[in-house]
Amino acid sequence: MNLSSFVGRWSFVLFGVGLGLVFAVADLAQGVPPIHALIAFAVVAGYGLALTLLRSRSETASALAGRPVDERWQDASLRAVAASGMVGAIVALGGFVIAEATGHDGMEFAIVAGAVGLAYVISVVWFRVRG
Amino acid sequence: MQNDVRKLREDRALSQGDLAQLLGVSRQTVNAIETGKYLPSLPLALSIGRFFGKPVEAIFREREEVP
Repeated sequence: MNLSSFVGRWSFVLFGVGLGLVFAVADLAQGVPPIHALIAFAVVAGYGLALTLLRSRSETASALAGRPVDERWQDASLRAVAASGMVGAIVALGGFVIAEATGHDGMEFAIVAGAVGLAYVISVVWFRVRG
Repeated sequence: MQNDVRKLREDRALSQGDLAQLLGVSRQTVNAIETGKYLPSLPLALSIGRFFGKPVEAIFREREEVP
């Protein structure tokens, strides 16, 4: 097995390990007890590992690991991404409104909502140009 | 949309898994196409037509309205 096929096969695990390390380091930097940082790492890295190991047995796990097995799963995955984006936008907008209405700073929600909205506009233009 | 995929497959004594393997999709996808839950992409519809030796419009058609 060469390096590129190894990375291709284990990319989701590597991503999970990397993200888990970021979470763990962020926790440790905040002075959180090391066991909590270890749990954060284990949850994220374990999720990646579990999906990768289940990928060959379950089409759902394969799709969740970013490897839809065929066009129907690819379609389902795209719709799931769209639905997730919609939920993210609603939560960001709702969070902003609630934060502002209760006298808190809603800037973080506004940044997320703005990023989601901008990404949507750019995507529409991009895919319109690309046909 | 309606289609004759199930009938054509059964006429050739193929299982859903056999057809799925031949088309390069999952068995569940073949089942979803047969039951009308999933409308295949044009390339897949063309592959299905080519496999059964029929034009796509002879296999897939709009659902007939019941008066």
